Amino acid sequence: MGIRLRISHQTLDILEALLARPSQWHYGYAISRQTSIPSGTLYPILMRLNKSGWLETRWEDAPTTGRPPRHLYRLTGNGREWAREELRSAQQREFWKPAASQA
Amino acid sequence: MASPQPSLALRVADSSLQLALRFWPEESRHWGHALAAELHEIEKPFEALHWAIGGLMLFTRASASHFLTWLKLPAGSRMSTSSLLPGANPPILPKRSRLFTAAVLIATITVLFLPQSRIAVSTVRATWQGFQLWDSDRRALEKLAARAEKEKDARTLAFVALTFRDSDQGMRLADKAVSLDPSFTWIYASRFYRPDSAPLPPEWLARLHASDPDNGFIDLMAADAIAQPRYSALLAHRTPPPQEIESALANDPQWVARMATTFHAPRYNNYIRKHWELICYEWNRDPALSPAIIGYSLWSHRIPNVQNLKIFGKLEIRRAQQALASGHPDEATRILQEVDGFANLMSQQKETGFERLTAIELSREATEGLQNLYTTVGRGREASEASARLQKIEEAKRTYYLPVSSALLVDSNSFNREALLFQTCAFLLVVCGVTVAFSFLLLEIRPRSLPDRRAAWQRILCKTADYAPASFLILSFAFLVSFLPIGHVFAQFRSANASIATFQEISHTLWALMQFPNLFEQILNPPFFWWVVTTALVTLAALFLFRLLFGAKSAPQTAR
Repeated sequence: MGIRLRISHQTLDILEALLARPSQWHYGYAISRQTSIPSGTLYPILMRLNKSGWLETRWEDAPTTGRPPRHLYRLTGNGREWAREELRSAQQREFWKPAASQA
Repeated sequence: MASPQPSLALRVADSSLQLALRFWPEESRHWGHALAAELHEIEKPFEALHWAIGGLMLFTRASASHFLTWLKLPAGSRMSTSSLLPGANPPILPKRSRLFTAAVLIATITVLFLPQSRIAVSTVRATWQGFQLWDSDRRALEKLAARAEKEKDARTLAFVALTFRDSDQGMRLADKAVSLDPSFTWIYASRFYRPDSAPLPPEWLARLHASDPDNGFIDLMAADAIAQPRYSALLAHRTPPPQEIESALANDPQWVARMATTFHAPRYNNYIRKHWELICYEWNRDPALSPAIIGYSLWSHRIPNVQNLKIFGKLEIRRAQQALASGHPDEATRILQEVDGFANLMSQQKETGFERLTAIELSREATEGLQNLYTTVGRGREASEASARLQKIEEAKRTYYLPVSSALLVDSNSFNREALLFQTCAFLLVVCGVTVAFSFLLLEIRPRSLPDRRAAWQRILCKTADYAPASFLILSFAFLVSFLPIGHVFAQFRSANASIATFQEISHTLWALMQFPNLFEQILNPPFFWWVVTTALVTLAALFLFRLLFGAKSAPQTAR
């Protein structure tokens, strides 16, 4: 878990979305709609977070008939702490603002 | 209620993602599936397309990352270790990565594509193909011809006409060159890749006579075309005695007339010097002109069949002997002096050694005849002069092929060594290149696990893969450096005066370059080559049978 991640605006937006309901599993499309980040940008970030150990994933248990199972994402325990710290630091540096304050 | 048919955009998005999933790298394919699964939650068609485009971008990144990771591994290694059978030893692999090998090979190809290297490669190709034209050379000539026709460049048209292997095309270009510049009429004397027996078109013969009336070479070509069918007919099924050939030709009044005109001509010019000047002109215009074109053009120049000269010379000397025997010594003297005169004229040309040698020999026979005649009629002083002349002729025979100029451009001994080194480097380069290709091919397509007894071969293969690419790069530099002296010689010939000395020297240097391929040709000479192959196969078969028999006998003993 010592891999240093490149923290971009989009990464912080995704962390904020995941931290909104930290214990819940999130779908990829839902994160995309919430953060307005396209799939081509979203999934590489999710892959990096997963590789660093901040994000855990699983396939849904009972997929809808006729459709493939969907992938679910949730921050790990350490991931939540790390994400809160990164968001706080970015806000202090005025590098990033929460979505609520931007609205 | 039936679910509505998905829109075209959705179907396109889904199909494109499914296609990408088929080729998605294994290590990140589950992320591709994850992205594709979300597509079914998207209702708006263009949003689905946008999602799919993102998926394709992800696929591109994953493939590039996979390729880069693959490049960083050595040849023969697999991305996943799960392909190994349980209990199997890990594969023996080279030390160098594919990336390193690719970089070295790219550097080698860059070296081989330098301008001097390309000339070196075309020189090697020309020597191994015996200075015959390949398709690429023919295309180059066609381009030259097209440009020359457009620019109305008579000189280049004449050069291409003399070098083309297509006789119709060559003759057409010759007509065009002469129509633009009549001073190129001499090119009509060329063969234009027609059979030796093909007669010179009458209008061409007339034009040649008109432009160069005193040149014996023209009638000699015409006589050659008359004689060739007779040679072919006589030699078709047997080797006839010389008298039969002489008699066949002596009874042909057309041939006799042409040869008589030749022997009476005040000049003899075989146009080799003019052809060589033409080659030098084109070579200077384009120093990268293929040596195959230079050599082919040089050596395709029409040379007369010296048999005609020998036979007519004999007939004339015999006629002189008959005249002497019938009491006409003056007539005999005149005939012999005519023969000697023409032979002397021909021996003064410097272009080809064998024409000169033939002429010297003819002059010797005529002078011998004169010596006998003068002795017979009691003209002692003339007989002594003839005898002294015979000694000079013998001396000329010994030195007939010495270079005509002492100011040589090339030291032939040193050039022979340089040519051999150059060809050796070329040969080793090819062998190394093939070794690199085979070693990597075998490593990449080898079975997943090899029995232990094959481990030694695998180690050899890996060592080859490690060191062959670097050797290939070093050899490419060696090849380029070894060509520099030869390139320098070529540059000297191009810039030197297109004298006949340089014509002889370039002929010698091109022959020197062929010594290595000629050696191979001797080794691969069909009888010797097949003898080696047969012996090797018989030996292998004998070893196989011995092992079979010996192995069959020892099996029952081990079963006990």
